[in-house]
Amino acid sequence: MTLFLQRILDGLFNGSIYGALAVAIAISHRATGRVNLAQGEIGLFGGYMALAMASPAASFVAGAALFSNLPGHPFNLWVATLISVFIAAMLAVALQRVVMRDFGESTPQRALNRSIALLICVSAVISSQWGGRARVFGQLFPSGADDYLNVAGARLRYTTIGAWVVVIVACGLVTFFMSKTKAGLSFRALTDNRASSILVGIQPKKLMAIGWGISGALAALAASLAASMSLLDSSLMFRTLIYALAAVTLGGFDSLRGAVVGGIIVAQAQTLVPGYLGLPTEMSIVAALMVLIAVLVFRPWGLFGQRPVERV
Amino acid sequence: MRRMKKNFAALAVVAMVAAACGGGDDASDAPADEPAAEEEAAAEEPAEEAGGAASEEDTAAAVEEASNEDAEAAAEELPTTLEGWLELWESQRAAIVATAAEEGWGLGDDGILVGPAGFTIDTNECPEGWNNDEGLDDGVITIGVTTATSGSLAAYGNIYTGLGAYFDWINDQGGIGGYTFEVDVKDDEYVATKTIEAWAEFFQSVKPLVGHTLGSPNTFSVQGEFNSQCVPQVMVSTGHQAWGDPENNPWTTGYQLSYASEALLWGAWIEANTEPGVVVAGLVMDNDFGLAYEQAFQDFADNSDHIESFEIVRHDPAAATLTNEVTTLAASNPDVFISMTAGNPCVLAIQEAARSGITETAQAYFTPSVCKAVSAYMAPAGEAADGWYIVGGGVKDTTDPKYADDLYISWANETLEEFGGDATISLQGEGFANRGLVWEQIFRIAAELEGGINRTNIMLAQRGFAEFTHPGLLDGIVINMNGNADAYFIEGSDISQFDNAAQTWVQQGGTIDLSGLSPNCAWVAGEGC
Repeated sequence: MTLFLQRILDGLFNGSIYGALAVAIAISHRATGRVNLAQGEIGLFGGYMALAMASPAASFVAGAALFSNLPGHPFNLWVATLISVFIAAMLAVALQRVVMRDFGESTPQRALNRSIALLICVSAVISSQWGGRARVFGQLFPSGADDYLNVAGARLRYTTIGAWVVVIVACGLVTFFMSKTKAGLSFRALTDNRASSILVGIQPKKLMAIGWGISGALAALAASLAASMSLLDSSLMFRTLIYALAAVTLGGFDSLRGAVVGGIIVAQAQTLVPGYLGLPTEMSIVAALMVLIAVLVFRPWGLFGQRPVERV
Repeated sequence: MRRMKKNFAALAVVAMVAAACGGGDDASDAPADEPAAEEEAAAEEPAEEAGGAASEEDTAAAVEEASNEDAEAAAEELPTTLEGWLELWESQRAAIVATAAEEGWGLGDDGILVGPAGFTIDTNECPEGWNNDEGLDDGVITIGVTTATSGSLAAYGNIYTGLGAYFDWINDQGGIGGYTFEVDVKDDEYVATKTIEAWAEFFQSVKPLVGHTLGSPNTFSVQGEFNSQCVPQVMVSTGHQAWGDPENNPWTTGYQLSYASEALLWGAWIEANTEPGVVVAGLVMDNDFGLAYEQAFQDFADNSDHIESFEIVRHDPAAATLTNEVTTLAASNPDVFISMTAGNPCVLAIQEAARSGITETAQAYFTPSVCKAVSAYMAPAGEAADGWYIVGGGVKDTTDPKYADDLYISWANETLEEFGGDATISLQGEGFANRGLVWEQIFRIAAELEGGINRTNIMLAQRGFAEFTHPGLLDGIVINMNGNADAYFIEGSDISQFDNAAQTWVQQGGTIDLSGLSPNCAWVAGEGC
């Protein structure tokens, strides 16, 4: 029983990462109606920015010397992470405005190709600047041997609690923006009924950029949280992206809540299925995808997505 | 809109399943006739009959003897100046060259290469057009290298930054035998299929005199090609026991302590230092590398009354985290935890073992020799690294503060920096101070053999490399190879424990010497030696 509980608690940490990235994907999808596969890499760029800002100038981290001109450098890791979240948001906005301006109008196939191209380009930039070598990111939360709460004999680590607090706060801010601000309400109106929204004066390009910016910020947050529990390397977000895509498909592309729940389900499947079925750990991703396939067969709009209704 | 979403969802699922199922980096993905370890191969034969490591009795005796010695015990008389070392190495090379002349080693007119202790290669079986002097045309010898410089084992790429700096220094000194050297590195990301691609390109275009590979699955993936093409695959950076097979794969040599020897040393130490009935947990990288450890230790555990059980969890070599795997192992309440992994997972295993509570309750926890580098793996693990044991393969870490005044290490660090390296990176020091020196000696011996530097003389220089004293290794570690009779360069080791506060490995007892005791290993996939 303790092992089962421990596996559940272990899975919760990954669930927070997958959930955060899944929400990022869902928001950019709502903004453009297309999936941005470069979401993870944009977040990873933010993660490396945080590393550069938190590293001394004399370190071998690209960008550290540049940031050393700023007062107070090297920054506290939290400060660096928050600034990097902003930088990633700006990067996402810039990419949307310059490179992916008509992303929403592309056919699904062209949009897919373009987002793959963007993924490869951002990944190449990251590899060229920071190399393929893993870096120690640092700890956003206490993660020593004694840093946990005892839950019926299992360890609920502070890192898991902290990651969920961050994700919940971030999602809360996004929800507040969407429901309480003029821009957020316009964004929702646009995603619900694009044609009518434009007729009443809502500017879609500006709102699409805002959507991408929020997605970039969340992705950077996910990358920093993931790196703080392992190591920061150029492949960190690729697998995470696959799990997050599974999560957002599972939860529904038009539901932020669904994306978070999807992240939890995928992470638990990844943890529990190999653990109890004796599958090789390489098969953990397949376990998650099998859950996804089952949902697609029986509920293709996702667990929390709205069933499409067509007027006839 | 609905159709579009369904189309995308279907496409996404197909792409994700494809991603999940593709991209294996294990030599098991290679053709079926190439070696690949299998779970069922474990423990078919008693360890003492297996190749690649000394017998359990010899190993236990050596561990006991070393435990009664002092690590600081006075070593044999060694040079105290660099000039003295140069003279010593020159005399040791001269002895090898003299033996070669006396014993008639060399490539005969009949195309048969004759070397020490029955070592032979029939070059008539090499491909038509094979040239013993290939790669020597323009006075520059290219050493072709494949290694990971990206991905989870990227840190090992530093070894070749160090090796490159060493050869830059050699070139600066005038080269060897009239040749200068270039280390040509290709990144294979520790993915065996990429190693194959890289070597196809090397063989077709660069055509280097010699080649070198890092990683067990990667080395397996091209070993057949090296041996059929008759190209020296020199001192590969992997400790798989399979490299000690001069009769079947005469063109391939290993260098470091074999994983089988390391596993037996873990076992011998456990028997000597823990109460009977221990549960041992092994975190195994799921490829040829990790399975080599697993199989050797499983053999030992099966023959041991001391070990109650050996619990194994394998992990994906590309895993970003090891939380799930270590949680499973922690549930077995292990008395001893052994990490059998490499690269970034070295750090993750140490951290996760602490977070899961294993290090609070276990009597001992081992990290493997390939994780010894302080700056790459121990320092990044932070406080969790304190107290870990290692069967360290006898290597001095050039960043370890206790060697700051070591004559050879301090020279190596200064010269590494002078030639563009970074002496604060352990693995660059490994490439420069440890491996570079041996590469140099091999080329110098080959240059002094009849015919000078060529492919067969490179092999003779290695197979006859006898009684070499290496100041980059701990006192008592002898580098020795003897044709078909002894196919392993290094068969000794230290057992050390990490002191995180001092960032140093503290040797426990004396140096373990198993030189010449490891039988050859004619590796068969799924069966072992």
